[in-house]
Amino acid sequence: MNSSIYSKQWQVFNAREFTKNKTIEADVVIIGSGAGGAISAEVLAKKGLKVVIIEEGPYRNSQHFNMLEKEAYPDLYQESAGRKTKDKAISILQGKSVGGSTTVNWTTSFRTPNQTLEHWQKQFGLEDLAPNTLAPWFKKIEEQLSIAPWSVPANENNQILARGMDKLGWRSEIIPRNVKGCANLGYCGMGCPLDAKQSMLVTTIPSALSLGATLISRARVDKFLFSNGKISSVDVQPLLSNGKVSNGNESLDNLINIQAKYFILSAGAIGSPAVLMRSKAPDPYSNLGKRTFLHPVTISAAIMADKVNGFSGAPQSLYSDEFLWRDGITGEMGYKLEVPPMHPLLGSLIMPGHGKSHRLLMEKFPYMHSMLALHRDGFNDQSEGGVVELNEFNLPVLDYQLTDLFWRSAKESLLKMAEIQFAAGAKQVQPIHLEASLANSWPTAKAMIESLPMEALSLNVFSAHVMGGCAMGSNERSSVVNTHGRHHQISNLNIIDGSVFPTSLGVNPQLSIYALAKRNATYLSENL
Amino acid sequence: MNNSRRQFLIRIFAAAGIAATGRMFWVANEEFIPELFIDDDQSWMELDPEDRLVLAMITPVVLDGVLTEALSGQRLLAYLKDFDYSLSLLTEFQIKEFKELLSLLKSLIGRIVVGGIWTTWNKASPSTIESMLKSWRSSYLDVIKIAYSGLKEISYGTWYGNPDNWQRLGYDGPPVIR
Repeated sequence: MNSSIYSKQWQVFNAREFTKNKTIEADVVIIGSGAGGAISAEVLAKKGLKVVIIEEGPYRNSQHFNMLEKEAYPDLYQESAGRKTKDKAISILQGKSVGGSTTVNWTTSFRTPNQTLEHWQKQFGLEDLAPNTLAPWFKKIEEQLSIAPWSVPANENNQILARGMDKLGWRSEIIPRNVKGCANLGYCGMGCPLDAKQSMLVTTIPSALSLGATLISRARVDKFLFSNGKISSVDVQPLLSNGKVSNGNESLDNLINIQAKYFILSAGAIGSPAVLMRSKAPDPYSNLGKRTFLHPVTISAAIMADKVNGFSGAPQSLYSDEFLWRDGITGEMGYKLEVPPMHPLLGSLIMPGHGKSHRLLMEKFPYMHSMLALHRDGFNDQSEGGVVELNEFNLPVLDYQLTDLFWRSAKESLLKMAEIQFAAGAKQVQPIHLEASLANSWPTAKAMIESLPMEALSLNVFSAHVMGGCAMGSNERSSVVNTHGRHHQISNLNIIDGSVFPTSLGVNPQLSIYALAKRNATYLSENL
Repeated sequence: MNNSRRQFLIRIFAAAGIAATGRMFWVANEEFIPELFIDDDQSWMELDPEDRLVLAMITPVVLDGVLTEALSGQRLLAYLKDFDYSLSLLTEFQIKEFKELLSLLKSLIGRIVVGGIWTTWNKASPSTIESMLKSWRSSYLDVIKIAYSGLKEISYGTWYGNPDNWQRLGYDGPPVIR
C-alpha cells in the first residue's frame, strides 16, 4: 500500500457516526463517488468550493483488499455481485464502495468510439460532443490516470483470443489500462491491493479530500427536498455495515440532511434515476429511467490442452472489434470481444448445470479459458434498453427486455467465440447456456449452438456496464439533461455519470464517463 | 420459531415415523446433526430449523462430488452456516425472494408440486432431489428456472468462495503480497 495517498487529516466519515439527525452545509453535494462523482469532486474542490461527497457503499482501500472473492463481492459490489434485471435474465456486476465501479473494474480504458459519437450527433443532436472536441478531454484523463496500452505480454487467457483470431484472419489489439506500477496480479475485480490501479479511490478522491472535501460513506440518499423548483437539501440515510438500515439487532432511523447551493447526481445509470424517482422530481416527458442500457454479455468457456491460469495476470489486455460494427451502426447488433478473468467463485456461478457435470468442469479450472462478447445495444429502433423502477423497498430494479435483435447477435457471438477457441487449440468448448454441453470439435459446437434456444433464463446473460436512464439531449422532450449535464427542469442539479449516455457505448465505459465528467464539471465550475 | 411452525415440524416428522423432540432430528444418511435444529441458536442469521433441513437435503446434491466423501455431518453443518451467512449479505429483497422459495418447499403442496418430493424432506433420496433439480433446470416456467439459478448461485458461491475448497480445483489462491 502506498500510505502517502491516505491522510489522517481528511474529512472522512462513516454515516453511522452520526447517531442523531444532523444537518450539514456545503456549496456542492455530490451523490456517488464513482467515475462521474469523483472527477467532479476534484474539479470543484480545486475551485475552492466546499464539496461533500455521499457514498452508499463503504470506504475501503488497499489496506482491506485481500483478493478474496467472498469478501470483495458483498463489500464492494451492488447486491453482493448478485444484482439482476427484474426478470432475472441478466446478472449485473456493478461496484458500490468508495470509487464506485472504478475500484473493482478490470482497468480497460477505451475512448468513446467515433461511430458512437457520430450516431449521437445525428440521432440526439449532441453536436458539441464531436470526436475532435472531446479529444482534449480524453487526453487530459489519459495523462491523469496513466492510461496506456498494456506493455507487458498478455496472459494466456487473453492470448488465446488473439491466437484464435489470428488463425482465422481476424484482428485483435492491445487494451489501454489505467495502471501505474501494476504487478500483473490479476485480482483487479477484488480491489487493487497495490494501489496500482489508477481508480478514483487513489487519484481524484484523495486529491479532493486533500483540498478539503468531505466524504461520507455508508450513506444512501433517500431523496432531494425542493423549494421553489430548486433542490434545497438532500436527506441521507446512514447504513449499517451490512449495507442495510437494520441487522436484526439494531436499526438506524436517523437521517442526515445536507443543504447546498448545488447538487451533482453521480449514482450511476441504475442509481441516479432511482434517486430522482424517490424524490418525485419533475419528469414532464416521462424520460426518467427510460433507455437504460447494459452491454449484454454472452460467454463461451473452453478447456485448453495446457494450463491457462486465467486468474493470474492483467484480466483484460487484448480485444477485438472485428464484429463490433459488423452491420453498420444501426443495423444488426455488433459485439466487442474480450476475455473475463477466471476466479473460482464467479467461475462456478457461470458454469452451467450442477452436480457431477459442474464439478468436472470446475476440476479443469486451471485449464479453463473464457471469452466474452459485449453487445452494443441502443443503436437500433428495436433496441430500446431497459426501464428503471423502484421495488417495494424503494430501491431500484431494472426491467430489461432482450429483443430478437439481441438474440440473433447472441447466437452469432457464441458461434464466433467457439470457432475462435477451437482455432486457438481448445480441446472442448462450453457455451454458457443452460442447455449447452461440452463440445469436442468446432462442427459439434456449431451444430449444438445452432439448435440452442435463444431465450431469457436459458442463455446466461451478464453485464458489467450500465449506461443511460437520464439521457442527455438538446431536446427536453426526449432527454433528462442537456449536453453539459444540467437537468432540464431543476436548475441547480447536474447529472454527471454514465446515466447521461443516450445509447450504450460499444466499449467499456469508464474513460467515456471520466472525460465527459471532466468536461461537464469544468464547465459547471466556471459557471457556478 | 413460532408454535404453529413447531407443531408443523413435529407433525411431518411424526408422520414419517421419526422421533422428534423439537430440537433434534435425524437427517442425511441417518447422520445425527443436532446443532442444525436448535431453534434458539442465535448464530443462525436467516435460516430457521426447517430451512436448514431442506437445505441440508438439497445442497449436497447440488454440490455432488465436491468432496471425495459425502458432504455430511460437521462439514455439512459448517457449510450451511456459511450458506446462512452468504444469504444474510444479500439485500432485503433478495433475501425475501429466497425465503419465499424455501417457504414454498417447506409447504406440503410446494414440496410435492414444485419439488416432486412425495416423502418428507428428511426422507427424500438424493436421486429424487436430483430429479427435482433437473426438472427445475429445464422447466418451462420462468419462476422455476429462477429458483434453480438462485439456489445454485448461493450454493456454489458459498462453496467455492471458501479457500478450504480450492484444492480440488488445482488453485492455490491469491498470491502473497509482501
